[in-house]
Amino acid sequence: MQGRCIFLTALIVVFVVPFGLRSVGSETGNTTPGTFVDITQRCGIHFQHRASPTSKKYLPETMGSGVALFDYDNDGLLDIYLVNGAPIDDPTPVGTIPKKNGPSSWNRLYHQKKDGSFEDVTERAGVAGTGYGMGVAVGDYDNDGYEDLYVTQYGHNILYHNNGDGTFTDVTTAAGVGGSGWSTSAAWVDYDNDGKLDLIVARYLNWDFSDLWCGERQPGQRAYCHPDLFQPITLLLYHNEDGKHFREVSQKAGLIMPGKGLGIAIADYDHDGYPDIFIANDSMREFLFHNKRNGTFDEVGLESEVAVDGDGRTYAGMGVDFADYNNDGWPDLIITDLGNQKYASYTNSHDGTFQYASYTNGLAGITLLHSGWGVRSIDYDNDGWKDLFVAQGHVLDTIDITTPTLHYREPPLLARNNGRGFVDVSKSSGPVFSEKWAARGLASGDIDNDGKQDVVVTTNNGPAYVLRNETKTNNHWLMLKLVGTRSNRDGIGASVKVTTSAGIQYATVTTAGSYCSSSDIRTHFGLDQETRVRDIEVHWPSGVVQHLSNVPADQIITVTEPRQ
Amino acid sequence: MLNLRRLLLGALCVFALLARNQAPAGRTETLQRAAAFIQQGDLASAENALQSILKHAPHDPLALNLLGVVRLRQQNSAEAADLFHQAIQTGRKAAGPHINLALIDGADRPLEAVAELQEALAIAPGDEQAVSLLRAIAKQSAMNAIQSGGENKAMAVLLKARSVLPSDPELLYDSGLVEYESGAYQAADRSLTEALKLKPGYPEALYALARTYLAESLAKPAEDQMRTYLAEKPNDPTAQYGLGYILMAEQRIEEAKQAFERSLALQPDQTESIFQLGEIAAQQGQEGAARDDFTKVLIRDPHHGGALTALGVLAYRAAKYGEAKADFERAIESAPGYQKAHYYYALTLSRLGQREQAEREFTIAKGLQKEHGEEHHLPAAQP
Repeated sequence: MQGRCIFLTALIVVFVVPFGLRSVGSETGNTTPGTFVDITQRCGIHFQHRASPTSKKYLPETMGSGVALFDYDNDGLLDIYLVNGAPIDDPTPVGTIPKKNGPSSWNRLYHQKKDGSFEDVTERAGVAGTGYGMGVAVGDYDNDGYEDLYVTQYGHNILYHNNGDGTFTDVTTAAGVGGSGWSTSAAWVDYDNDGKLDLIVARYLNWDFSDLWCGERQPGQRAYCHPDLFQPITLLLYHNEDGKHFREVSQKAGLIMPGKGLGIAIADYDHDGYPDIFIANDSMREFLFHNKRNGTFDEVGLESEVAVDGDGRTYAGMGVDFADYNNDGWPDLIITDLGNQKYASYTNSHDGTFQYASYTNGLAGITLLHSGWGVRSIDYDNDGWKDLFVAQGHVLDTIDITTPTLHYREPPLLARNNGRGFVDVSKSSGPVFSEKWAARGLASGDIDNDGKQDVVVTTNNGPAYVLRNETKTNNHWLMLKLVGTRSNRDGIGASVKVTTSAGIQYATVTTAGSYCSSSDIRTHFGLDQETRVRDIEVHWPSGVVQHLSNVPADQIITVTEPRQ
Repeated sequence: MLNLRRLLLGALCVFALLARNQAPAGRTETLQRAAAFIQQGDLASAENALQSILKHAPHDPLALNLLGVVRLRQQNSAEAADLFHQAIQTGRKAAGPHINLALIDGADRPLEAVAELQEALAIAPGDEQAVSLLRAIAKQSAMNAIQSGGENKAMAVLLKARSVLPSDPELLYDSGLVEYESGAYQAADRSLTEALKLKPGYPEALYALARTYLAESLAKPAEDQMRTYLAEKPNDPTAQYGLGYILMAEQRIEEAKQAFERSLALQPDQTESIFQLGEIAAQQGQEGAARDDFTKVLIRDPHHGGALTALGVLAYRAAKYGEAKADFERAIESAPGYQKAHYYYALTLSRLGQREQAEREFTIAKGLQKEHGEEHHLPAAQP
């Protein structure tokens, strides 16, 4: 009962003074610390990322890789795909594309068994990867009902088609999505709402294995070079032609501005029915590509006020999430960056622009001395407000020497959204938040289908961690799995509005966001003390608007798009 | 330069004493009389006394030295220097001529002056006048560099001075100041930390180290130093402002607010504290209070770029783009290097449909980005 009253109060506050315009000091209302438990070993995940550090400090060595949480065999249980690096010679000749040379650098697919443990099915599935892996994006690009995998690498990328029998086939060449350069995050999105998922790929830098010395010329102080030393590079946008073949259309679509892309997120930020794309760029202005509904985009980051921080400064954008953190029905933005820059958050102003909100919602104070990569807006305590889980650790393994207040290895961050802003609850949320990791990728999803969002975190040159959400709460929840019929089968890009007697929530269906990672496609809503949802409104990419009424809480429901 | 003049008078006393201690009895009285004449400003009588000695002993080092002082008083530096050199060339080990040569060189040729003082201190280790003069020359070099550039030259003087007095906290402090001004924060950090080791609680060094830490983005250590300083000098309004500024950098807004309020209580016309309180009010959504504070700042300082920008941002948020544009134009005129003003000016121009101009301003704003991200700088300690 107490929780219900607080939720109502919070909504009233939001109505009177929009979230992000109030100072956040100490929260009022109850504080539910999270409880995230490391079940990695227990559940049979024994992944080790191979960064292949060298004396030359080649940049890929410190960028880590991503993770996907997806159900590849449609058994209702999430499986885990972990991307791995590859051997790098010391030194490596310029022009080299690193190759995997055996199981120690394979990407790994772990199938979840009914008892919650995982088995390594990489070889059988045929998804070990080929090169120095970076990211992964999950989407059913051929609408056959089975999730496919796109894996980014340094050099060229791979599209694995899911055969539906537990195996995948590398269809990269036939599909025409191999790309080139150094790809990082990728996202599936039906940007032209033609019912087929297209693919957008961020690329980081025009970088090769040239021997550049950065940092102090003293033993142990050679550092990874700053991205300013390298030229930016354009994105890749692949239009899905027929469910099998793709055409690279970035120029035609107007995605011509070179960037230093690390993170991608999608959402229809202006409610015009077409998905827009945000690119987190490292140490240059961030990009917001507004979908013009004719197959082209305008880059509107500056005029939309999301290109730089609230003082006009660029920062090292790395991970991103595009989620409605203030429950006003409009997607907001969270972007992680390096220590002393403060993670950026932008509240949607409902007029095509945003307002930098990190000072007003407390995020600046929480994150001043942190360096973040993967980030997801998850409602860990099911109280109806989207919280933040961030994988952290500075990019420079020399940072502890040069800037003692910043750290190469950091605990993850859990920031609770109390309806007025964010509060750091990490320290009270379990021993996991005292562990120091060089964390990079992060994916969220409900691994055990208990209604609580779990996360998987990858670390650079280290293990991956499966963190089970065991937060003690009686709050209710609802999870939706969308099945498109006229729209893409995954329903990616659909907007879901959930209304209870306590208020509304809003989410975009996507697997994208975070850093180099792909999250559970199912859309999760915490419902606080509400046991029923009054109305679910789904805006499908096809334009169909679907309503479901009086839906009981605490279940996973499949919502199929009406054919007409 | 005032310090150097005061030292000159002091040096004369020393030379008089020197004369008494080292000269034969008959000449001693004459030398003492000459020194007294110099102090009284009776340069003619001093010269007569000294010439009476030099007539019989033309290489008398003490008489040559004092005659050099007479020439100095007569504004004849060249002849004075010649006389000091003659005194040195007699071979008699005396610190005085070296110190006097340092006085001549001090302002214009500080490196040569320090070299002379090195000689003086080799002859008379710990000589107070030589030490004082060395510190004064080093400080003067430091101040010149801070006020009008030339940090490299100043550092050369300071390094040379530190080779003469390696454990002198004041020289280390001055070095830290110059290193800070030249952006060599790690070097400043080392110098100031060393100064504090040698002279624990040295208030100026504590303040300077707080500034340095902040510039290095080490806000917590900066806060610790500033709090230590304030424990000694709680009524220093600049330091209270400094603490508030550091706390702002740490995003500890409520504590920062209290520090700015303390600063204002100590010095009610502290423009910068009022400005920061306005910034806090703006961050907390108290737009009316923020506007009041920024207006107060502009009454005191009509060209305050920060306040003009802040008012412009408030106008921009209220969709009063014409008003905002005017504020930003004034802000940029006052503070052309202020990135935030250019950024919001660009946004405003964009809202007004002036896209080309907006792009230009965005480019200017981008060009003003600091290489290493956000930088925080405190004002220097008040004398």
